[in-house]
Amino acid sequence: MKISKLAAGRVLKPLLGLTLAASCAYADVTSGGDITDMSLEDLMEVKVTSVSKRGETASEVSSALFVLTHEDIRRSGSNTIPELLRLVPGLHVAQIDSNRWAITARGSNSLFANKLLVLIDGRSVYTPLFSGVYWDAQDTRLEDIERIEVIRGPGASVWGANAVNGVINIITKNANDTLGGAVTVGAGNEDRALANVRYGAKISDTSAARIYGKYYNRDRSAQIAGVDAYDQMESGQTGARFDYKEGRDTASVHGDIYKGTDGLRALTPSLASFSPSLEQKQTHFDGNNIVAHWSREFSDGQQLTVQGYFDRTQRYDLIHGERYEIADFDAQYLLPLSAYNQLIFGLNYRNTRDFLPKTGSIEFLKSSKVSELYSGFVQNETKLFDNAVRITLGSKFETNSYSGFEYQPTARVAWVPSDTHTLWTGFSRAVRTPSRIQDDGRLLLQTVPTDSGVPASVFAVGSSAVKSEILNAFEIGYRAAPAKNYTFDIATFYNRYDNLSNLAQGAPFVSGNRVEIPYQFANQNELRSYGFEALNTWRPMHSWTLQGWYSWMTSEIDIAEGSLSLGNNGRVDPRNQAFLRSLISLPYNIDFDSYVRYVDSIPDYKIPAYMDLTLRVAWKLSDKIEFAVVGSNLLHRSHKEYVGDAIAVSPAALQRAVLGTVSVKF
Amino acid sequence: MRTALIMLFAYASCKIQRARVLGAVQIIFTFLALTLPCTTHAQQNSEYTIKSAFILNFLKFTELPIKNQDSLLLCIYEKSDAVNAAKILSEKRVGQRSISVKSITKGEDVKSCDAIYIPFSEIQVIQSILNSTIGHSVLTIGEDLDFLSNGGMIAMISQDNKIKFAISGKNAQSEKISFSAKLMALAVSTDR
Repeated sequence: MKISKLAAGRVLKPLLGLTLAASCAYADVTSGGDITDMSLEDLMEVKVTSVSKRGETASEVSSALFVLTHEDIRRSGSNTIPELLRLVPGLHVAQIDSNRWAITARGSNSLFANKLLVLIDGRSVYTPLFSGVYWDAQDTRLEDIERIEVIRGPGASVWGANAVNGVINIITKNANDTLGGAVTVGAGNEDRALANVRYGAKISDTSAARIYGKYYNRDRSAQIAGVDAYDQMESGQTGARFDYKEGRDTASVHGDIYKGTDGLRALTPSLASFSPSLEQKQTHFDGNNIVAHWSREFSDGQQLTVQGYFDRTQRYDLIHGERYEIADFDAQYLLPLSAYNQLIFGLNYRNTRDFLPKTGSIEFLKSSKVSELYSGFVQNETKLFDNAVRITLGSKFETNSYSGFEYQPTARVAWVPSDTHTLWTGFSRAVRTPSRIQDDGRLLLQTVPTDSGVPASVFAVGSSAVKSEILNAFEIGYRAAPAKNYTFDIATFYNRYDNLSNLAQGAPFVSGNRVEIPYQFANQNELRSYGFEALNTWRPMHSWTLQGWYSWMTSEIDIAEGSLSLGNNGRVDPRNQAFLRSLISLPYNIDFDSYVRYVDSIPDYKIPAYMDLTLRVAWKLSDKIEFAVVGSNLLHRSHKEYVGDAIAVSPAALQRAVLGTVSVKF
Repeated sequence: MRTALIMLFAYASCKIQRARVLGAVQIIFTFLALTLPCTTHAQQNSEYTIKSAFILNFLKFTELPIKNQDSLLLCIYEKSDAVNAAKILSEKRVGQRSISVKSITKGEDVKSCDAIYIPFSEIQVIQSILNSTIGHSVLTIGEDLDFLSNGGMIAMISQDNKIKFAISGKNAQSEKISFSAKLMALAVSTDR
């Protein structure tokens, strides 16, 4: 399986999953004569160093990498990107309600999980407001995704701040691979309506383009205690992609425009009332982005890649409003130094402009701010002992408007005694830079009565003194393919987080006719977590694949005295997770696919452990037409997976869902 | 207005950045090249040179239905390194026929190709190219054993940093292509 440089712990923001390595490979041809005159017998004895000049193979990477292939995506029965991520070993993917998700790797999950970097075709999609991801707004036509690479553990030495607990890298197909038309329509009890269409065409010998559109409508989830969940969602998205390749040059331009609405019902604090009221309001979100990418392969394997993007997003909901405009420029260079050594380095500049209006719940010292990020990285890969030992050393250096200078080094060693075994270890430092809200936000949490009868309002208050959260991570992993139809992959980690964010109580003061109790963002907590993820893939028959994974983790948190916990006492992640997936190809072009997953309890939020099942049956009538029926959450009428921790989202339970789809190609 | 400008800039960034970054990179590179020269420039890319020599032998020891009396068309899927390396074959002859090398992209008509070589590629690409060759008697050459299970005929495999090959006679037979006994004997695996 070919993977992009990200996965290889290298660079080249993936986009094209380039096979750039073509380095100083040499053959030990001593005769000096014409190689085409050699006999087959002699040719077979010629030794080639660095045989495969493709992107590093997944089995050789010295980090906990998992790749969801196009086939995995097609057979998952998923309609959203978060649902797809349920297949990834060790990720905790918890659906809070119809449109909100909490997703992280290796712990510290939250609706605002802030230690995971998510990229779509090289474009970072977390919001700098709280360093988390609005999953409802992250979409594309799933059929046009080439692959999703997921690294559990830090990837900051290449990717920079926020690649702390993991990196998710979504890579869409080259327009040359999506020629022709395709339409999918579907309807179900929860996914009420979905429709998407794509058309792609060759423009010339060297270029191709596609255009797509999609619509998605999801029902609200089950009532809990008679309260309507009010979490329906509806969204539409369209986009286009253009790819060009001629000789040594590859270029692409792509962009998306989307718009949607969600329901949000939540307990909303007010200055006037002691008890927060349950209020509901439609969330409106929209955005557009454009990404341009160019790369050139030089002789002897050098490669330059340049990328620029502009991303505009906005969202207005019950609690807050935000608009972001981000411009990002990136240049990277791959330089093979010898057959055994290669260097990658790059520079990045990002300009972020935000507009954050004051609402009843939240306000900012500056309602609009421009922040800048300059960064550079360098990484060297050395292969020793006939490629059996691979050493990667590198670091990212950056200066940002919130915490100033940051360095994020990594050292990784892989021992690859044969094609079928890889033992790897890595030590990395990564930081999560302060978010905008931690810098100068002011969020009303609650209004409480005091003994004197004067109301006191509790605020979370940002501070310009807030520092970055620091992770030092140590990982060991082993990967093996003991048989042609069986592979095994285990990754273990020990993470130590310092300067972890907390809310520290400040001195109350009188403001007008009330008392204000500020809780200031600080960096006084510490966390240690450790665990492992083990993956087995077995193909008992050509037409049957079984994949199972199990993950275990635990964490110990030191919460600074006087901190506000908001219910989170460090036990917000499932200790055990297990997953088993079966993909069966039956005669008459019928697929029978299923997966069952077990997720342990979440003690802090009193979420019980649960097990659930997804089934997919698809019948391919011809190359052009496929029918599919997908049932999900099948084992319960409804169940809860997580809570909207940071905002008191009205509790919701996910219901059993059935969806039928028809896909037609033309 | 500012938004429009930034978007325009993003559109144009490809061109603008190219000139600017190339300059900067050139300086950095020149420095690095001076300090750490790559000692094997002269021999670079010879993986594909060797593979080209293999392909020449495959053509010699394979019986293909004749499409053109004078020339034998070797089509290579996209990868520029492989295409460049295969240029050493363009003056070579197989029997009376001279070899011509052509670079093709996905979706291109492959009917006229006598042989097609698909260097490492994504599985979906391989499958769609192989599908397009069906019924046209095209010798299909690829990499790794999976290539054969996907319907390919000859797969080049790296073993201990040497290149070996495996053959599927079955896949070839259905396209009226047959291999010489010598080729079958040297293959590390066959399906016969």
